[in-house]
Amino acid sequence: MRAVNSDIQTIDLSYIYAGRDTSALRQVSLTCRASEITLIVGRSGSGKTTLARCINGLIPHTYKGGTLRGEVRLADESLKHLSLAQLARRIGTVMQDPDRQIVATRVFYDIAFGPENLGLPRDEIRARVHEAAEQLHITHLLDRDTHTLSGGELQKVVIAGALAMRPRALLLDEPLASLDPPSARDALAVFRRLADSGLTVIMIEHRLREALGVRPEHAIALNGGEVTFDGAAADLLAWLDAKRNGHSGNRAVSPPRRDGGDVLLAFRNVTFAYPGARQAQLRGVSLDVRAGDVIALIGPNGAGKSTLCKMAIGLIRPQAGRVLVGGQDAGRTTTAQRVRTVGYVFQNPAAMLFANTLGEELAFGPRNLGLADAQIAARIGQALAIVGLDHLPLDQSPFSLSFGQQKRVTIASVLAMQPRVLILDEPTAGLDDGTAEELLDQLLSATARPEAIVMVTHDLMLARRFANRVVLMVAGQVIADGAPDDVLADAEVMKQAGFDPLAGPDTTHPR
Amino acid sequence: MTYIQRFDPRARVTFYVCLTTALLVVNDLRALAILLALSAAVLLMARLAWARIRHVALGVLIFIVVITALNMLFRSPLEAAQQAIRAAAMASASLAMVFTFDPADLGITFRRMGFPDRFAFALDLTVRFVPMLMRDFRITMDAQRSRGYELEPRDRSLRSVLTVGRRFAPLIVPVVVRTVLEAEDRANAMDLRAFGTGRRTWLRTLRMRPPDYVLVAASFALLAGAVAVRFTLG
Repeated sequence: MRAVNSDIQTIDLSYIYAGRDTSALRQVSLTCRASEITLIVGRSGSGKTTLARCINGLIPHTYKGGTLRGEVRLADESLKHLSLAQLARRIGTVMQDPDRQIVATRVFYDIAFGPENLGLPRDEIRARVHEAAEQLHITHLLDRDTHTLSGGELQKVVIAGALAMRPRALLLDEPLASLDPPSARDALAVFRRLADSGLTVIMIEHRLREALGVRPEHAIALNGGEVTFDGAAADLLAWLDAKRNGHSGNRAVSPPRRDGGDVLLAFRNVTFAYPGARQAQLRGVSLDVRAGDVIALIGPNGAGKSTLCKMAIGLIRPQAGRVLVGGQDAGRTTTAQRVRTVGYVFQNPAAMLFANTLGEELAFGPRNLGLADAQIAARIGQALAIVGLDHLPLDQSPFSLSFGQQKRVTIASVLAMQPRVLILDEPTAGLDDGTAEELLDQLLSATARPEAIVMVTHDLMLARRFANRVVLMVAGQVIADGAPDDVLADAEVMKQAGFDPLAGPDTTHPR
Repeated sequence: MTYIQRFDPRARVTFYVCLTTALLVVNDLRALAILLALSAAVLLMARLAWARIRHVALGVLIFIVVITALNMLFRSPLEAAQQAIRAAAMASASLAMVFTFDPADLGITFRRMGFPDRFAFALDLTVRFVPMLMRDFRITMDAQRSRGYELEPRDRSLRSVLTVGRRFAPLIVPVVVRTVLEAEDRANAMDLRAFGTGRRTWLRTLRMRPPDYVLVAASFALLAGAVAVRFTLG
């Protein structure tokens, strides 16, 4: 079913950013067909984002001064001489973080934003807003304030805003990055429907395992700015496997055995509600974290996972129940005292990094603990070795590092405080599958690692590969706690969380 | 919808600007008292629930008490009274204005008052931006506290007080860096939806009705009266 030809084609596309010597893209030629989903994969720095910017026109219209060769075509038309306004009517773009793409305080006006900018008559704009909202089944959200929506809802609003421009193609740049599994599954169903209705859908994603759930017809892999795979999506996994076997790379550690060690951190029937919240965030949670535990704490957004972790280091206090840190009632200690036992690495490195140099950044925690300089230096060295960054000079600025390296720096900055329990909030968010696994491999196989690790994660495969215990939370309660294979394969509890159970042996961990 | 909200937002902005300017212009206690009564009446008409404005109102109240006490001590009782009335009236008018104003109206209001598209939209974005900034700040605060950071320094010597700027760096730097990076994404997202490429339609429409014109006329009359009072009574 292809009424209009809306294929997107790039021909010998190369790009060098202003002030750089190396090409971000090298002679990329590919075709993305109408009514199909083309999945574009590649590790960080492979050129995926640059390719997206060339297709939607941010290059050369917004990123100026670089060298662009080759061209992008939509059907028989070269996009070279079109303005951004003209491009916006042809190719809709949805980027990673929906929060940063919402411009209006009310959903209706946000969807209307693009058509308003085109100067269309009011009646037509209203018609387009309703049409787009119906396509995404969000007409009930039109009168809502945007700041009251969940991440999944926000993303649908952003997609509706792109559709209201009546584009012929939709470019999705890491659309799953900020969604929990139920929302991601929902989003994938929307993308499928849009492609089936005739749009050309291009999806850039490094959460490969989930992205394949959208049943893409076509897949392209990029590496170092070049196309390394271009074929049926069904063949992508086989190709990745073959490539991996060519290297000696895959040294996945098996999860360490649990040995029922000392209780390091304990929650005893804790309850917590944010002031003014309709529902309690935590409703009578009891949980022991023991030495030797590698826990994957999973559950949909809003289940109370982060609240529980914040309580562990005393950022919030339970309204009922007790938290025991290292056997001591946490109510009688300060946060500064608790962080000696429990370390917490926040999801986004941007929330933590502040210092001019790596050395200063890593010394921040230990210095707050009141350690002496010599001791601090030793701990920094150890921490950097655990995350595999000991080759970096300590006078380098943390802001000059890649996202993946920054993530490692933030983990090291907490490890330098030598906590006995390390809590990682979404350790793999923003990392491609390969980088994420490498990082966890390194951390878990380090001998000097903390005695217990708690990973808050949406990635169920990761839970199975790296954890020796899975704790599943739903609506402020722990509904399952046990060995990964038992919990993740339990159809009933997984369904309560809105997750698909993960059954059968772990055969695919593509990189 | 309250009676206030039935007025066109342009008329309301005009009234607010004239009222606050009048408060700054006059010094005469009787005139100030009339303006305070007017502001209080507007606040009552806004029918705001106490729970909604409690925090702000208490903050303002404490501020007024402190300022009044300082004025009594270092200046004169007359000046103290003037400042107290001014602050109370401004706070009342502002609370009524801010808490009844639909943020979705902000951009179009200023656009229709003659400001350019970009300025009007910048206001819209600011409304969205402030809560996000607060959220980023809270996250960073939590993140640094989990690295043992305490706002209260252990060492309370003069030197540590002088290095207060450095103490705040772990809180300020991440928020600023993040805001700058996000601004790029935000600008890209707006570019990709054709912002600023031509004449734009504002879907929301505003209409001035007879009562709105009356309000605007009354606002200017109020301001003119205030100026007259200033020049006759001092």
